[in-house]
Amino acid sequence: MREKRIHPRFGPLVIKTAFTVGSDQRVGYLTNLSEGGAFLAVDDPPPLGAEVEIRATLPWRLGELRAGTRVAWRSKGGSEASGKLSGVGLAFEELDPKAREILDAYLAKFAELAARIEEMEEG
Amino acid sequence: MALNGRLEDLNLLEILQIVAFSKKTGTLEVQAPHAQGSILFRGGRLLCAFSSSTAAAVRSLAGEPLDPAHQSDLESQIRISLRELVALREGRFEFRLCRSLPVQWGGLDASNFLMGDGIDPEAILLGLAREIDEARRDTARLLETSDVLEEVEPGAASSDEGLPGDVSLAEAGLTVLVVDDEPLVVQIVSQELVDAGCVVESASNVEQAVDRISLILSRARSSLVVVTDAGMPTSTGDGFDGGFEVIERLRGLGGTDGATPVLLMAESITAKGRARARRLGVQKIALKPTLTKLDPEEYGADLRSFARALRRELSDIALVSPGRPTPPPEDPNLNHEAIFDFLKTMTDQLAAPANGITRMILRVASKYVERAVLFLVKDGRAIGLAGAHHGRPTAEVVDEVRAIAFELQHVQPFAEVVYSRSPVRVTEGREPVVSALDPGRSREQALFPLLHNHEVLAVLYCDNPTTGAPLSKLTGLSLFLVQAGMALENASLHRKLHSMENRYSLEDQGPLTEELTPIVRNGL
Repeated sequence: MREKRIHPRFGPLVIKTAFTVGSDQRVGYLTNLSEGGAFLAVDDPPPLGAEVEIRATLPWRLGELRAGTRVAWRSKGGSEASGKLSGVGLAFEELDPKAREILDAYLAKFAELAARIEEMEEG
Repeated sequence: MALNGRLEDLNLLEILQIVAFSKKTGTLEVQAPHAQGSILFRGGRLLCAFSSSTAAAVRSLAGEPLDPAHQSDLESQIRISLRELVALREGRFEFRLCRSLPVQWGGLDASNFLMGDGIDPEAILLGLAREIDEARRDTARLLETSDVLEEVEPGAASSDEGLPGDVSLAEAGLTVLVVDDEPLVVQIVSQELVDAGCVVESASNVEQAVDRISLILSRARSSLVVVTDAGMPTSTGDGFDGGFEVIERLRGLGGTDGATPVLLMAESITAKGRARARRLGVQKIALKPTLTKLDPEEYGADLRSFARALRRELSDIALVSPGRPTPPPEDPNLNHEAIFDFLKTMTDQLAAPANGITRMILRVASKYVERAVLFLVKDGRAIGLAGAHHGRPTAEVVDEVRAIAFELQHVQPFAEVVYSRSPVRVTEGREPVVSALDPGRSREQALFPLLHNHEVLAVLYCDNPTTGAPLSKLTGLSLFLVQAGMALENASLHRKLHSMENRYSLEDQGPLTEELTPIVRNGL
């Protein structure tokens, strides 16, 4: 079945992220990001439907992204060869204007850098 | 359009993400002052990589047929190469797009060593990020556990030259009270300490000693060390442990007197006496020559030798004493040579910074500013780690500083240092940078990053709250912090290597394999 995405997904990334599930505070890595959500690579992923508060310092001096999210899907990972990471797909639920601005700026910068390659002439 | 530039602006981890996202085929060349490398991509997947140190190994593997064992070896070399390249702090990079795989790449025949479909960049990126974070955590632990109040190598203090870069007793500005009911001991010890630049006072019995102590401590900013004989008559005359009574009464004086260092002299001491001395916070016990010597000249010579040893012990105590106030900063403009020599010595000491690096940083900073506070940067927060403040006991400052923690985003200059990874100077007329630190007359503040693998591990805050003097040029301090960051990385690496060595040893796999060699050679 062909995957349908509302928002373009940017990745692979690696952004260290502090996250909270209930009173449990942990650290994981965002490995892709879109306007609607992210994949959080983490061992022992939180359960489906859990509310996850994330805090990630984005590169290029963009600031800290804080967002309320919910676990939309889970991956227990696979063998190393499969390249399938253990973690959760997160859907953004609460993004205040500041967080939206930071996220948009990050995605725009990433797209701009990627566009440099698209526009290159082959050597 | 091209994807090229400086690693200072876009680090290799970020470049790898962009290229992998583009799903293009091409080569990424990296050129740094002391290293270079290249990474080959096909459809955004990593096909191969080499760095200066792995090029030979990759070249040898390139000529082999790609059986599983060789593929595994090649993948290992690729990971080592990436680890090295990701650690580069400065240099240039350029990604070149190719329609198809280049046959020649880095002087090698690429057709021979293609990694099948290539390596999934997502897993590689995650692995590299985890390694960097692990190294950062390890280094942060080094800082957190670094002794603020003790010397790196206490044993070295027994040499005649003292510790490298040690300040003299004169520089420490100590007042020493020598207490002994034996006049010759008082005379010889006092003379030795006067020669060393100390202000020396003396007492021959308990009451006299306690009076002197009260008087000295009542003077503003006096830094006192008590050197007392253990075996003297007590004040009531019913015992011969008067030295202990002096210390007990000193400790009972309240205020900051618990921090006054004490050196106890004794001809001999029992285990019980040692335990009592420890309970009373005695820093050192020095065994002095016995009075039973019949030859006065020999006894005098022994006493002078004892006094010299005592002087060295005292120097050690003075430097590590939590009660010792931090000396005032020097004006670097007036004393270029001294500052240069000091920095050089301290930088040499960074070669083995496993312990005491926080103290070294504060000691260097104290040469430039009246107050220096080191904050650990962790999970978006700044956490007070240690500090030095001219005229105040170090232990007191450290206690104050360790109660401070705040979110970086709420303190703009700190956030600026962390994001820019560069020093920031805050000029007069603004709110105090850290509200928990009494600004006093401080009109200017400087913040310096302590970098570890591109990231800010800690921030050093500096100002002059006592005099309100403008901050002088702090180039030397800034350079020292760069060296300190590199030294911390090296220390972290050494610890990792030791750990791996132990693991290999436990697993009985003989000496370290080639897995480690390239990492060591490149000082990652």
